[in-house]
Amino acid sequence: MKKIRVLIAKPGLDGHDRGAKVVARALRDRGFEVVYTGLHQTPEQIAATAVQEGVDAVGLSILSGSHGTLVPRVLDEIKERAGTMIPVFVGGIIPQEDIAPLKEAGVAEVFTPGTTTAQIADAISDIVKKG
Amino acid sequence: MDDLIAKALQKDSLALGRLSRILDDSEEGWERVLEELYPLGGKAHIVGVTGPPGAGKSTLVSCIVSEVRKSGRTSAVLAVDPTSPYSGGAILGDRIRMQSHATDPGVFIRSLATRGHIGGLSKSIRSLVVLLDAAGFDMIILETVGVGQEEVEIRGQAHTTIYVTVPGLGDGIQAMKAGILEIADIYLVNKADLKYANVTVKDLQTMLAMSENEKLWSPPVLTSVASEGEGVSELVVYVNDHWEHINKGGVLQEWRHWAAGQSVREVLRDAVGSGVGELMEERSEELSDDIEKVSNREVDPGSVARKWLSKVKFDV
Repeated sequence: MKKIRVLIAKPGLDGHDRGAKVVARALRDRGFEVVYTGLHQTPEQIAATAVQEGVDAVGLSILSGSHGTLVPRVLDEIKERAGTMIPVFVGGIIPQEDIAPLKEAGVAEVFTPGTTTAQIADAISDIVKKG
Repeated sequence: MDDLIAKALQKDSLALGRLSRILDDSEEGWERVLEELYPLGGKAHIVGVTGPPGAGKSTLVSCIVSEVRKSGRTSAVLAVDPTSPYSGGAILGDRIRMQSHATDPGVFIRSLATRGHIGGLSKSIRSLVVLLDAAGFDMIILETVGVGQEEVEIRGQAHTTIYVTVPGLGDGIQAMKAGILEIADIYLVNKADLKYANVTVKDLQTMLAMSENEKLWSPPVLTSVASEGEGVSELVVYVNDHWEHINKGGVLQEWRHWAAGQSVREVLRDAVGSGVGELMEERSEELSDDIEKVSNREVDPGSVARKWLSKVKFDV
């Protein structure tokens, strides 16, 4: 079976990566190949990495409240560099009322606190398999 | 596919990323990609960086890329991390140390998982080197997984092998042992600001001095503090010197012939292995009847294997 490759990235200045690491580890244990780039990534770095690594999906972890600014910029950069859209997932502290605008902007799914890692893995693998 | 190949030859990172995936996953058409690209390569300087986990290989690779870029040359990196034997998944984290190069169009970085391959690299690394070499990168750096004593596969892949170690991992006897410590062209003691770095340097120098082989190139023992960028420009001077050295006097020609032999043998072995694997999967019920006979001591394993070997179809 083809391996699912995912990029897990933390955009912006938020320095808390425990959540991103937990998700990366859980996806590894589900048989995914997880490219992890660490903290403080710019939208350009994230998009360039997604393209070079040929990933099936990108997961962004944002706890700082800056998702409204950062996510659209990451989406734009990916669209520009990849030509098409690579599915983008967002996880972190995202207020309920911000979820719909993020999805409208093109985010495949938003995971808020309380989501299990199994749910995240299932959601990613469903969307990747749909192509 | 022709379009992808044409773009990859212009170092287009989207095309390179896509083709890397095709080659790494053996997706449909991967053989043709290699047929087209192989004749175009042979120009890049391929540098291997190996050593134990946590020695600072990724940080060092990032520093080498910076030096190479300063001199106006382009560089590609293939960084290998281990696949879990349980889930088949992997955390590919070498890039963390290299992200300052992520948006540089003269640099292409690709992470790879070993996917069960033994030897410190991935099975696909040979194919990816063909791709990046054809694309015209001046230097291709291969970072192995963190290795122990015996992962010497890098020797057949890289023109110049750097063995990175750190102080405090063992005494002079460790340095005398066979295996990975014999194969490097450059030895580097990283984290040289740590205690006993000079002892590690001495152990390596003693080991090299005991070598009785008449060598045209005597491997240097260097030091660095990669996190501070210290010692890197000296290292790159030696890397370039080694490349110059093997380009003179037919060493490179000899290496190429030897490495080509390694490639052909490995591809042949792989083809046989996957031919056998497919057959066993296709006719698993019939095979399990034979296994039952072996289990009951009616027949020995060798006789069953000989019977099945004649049914294998090889598809290279």
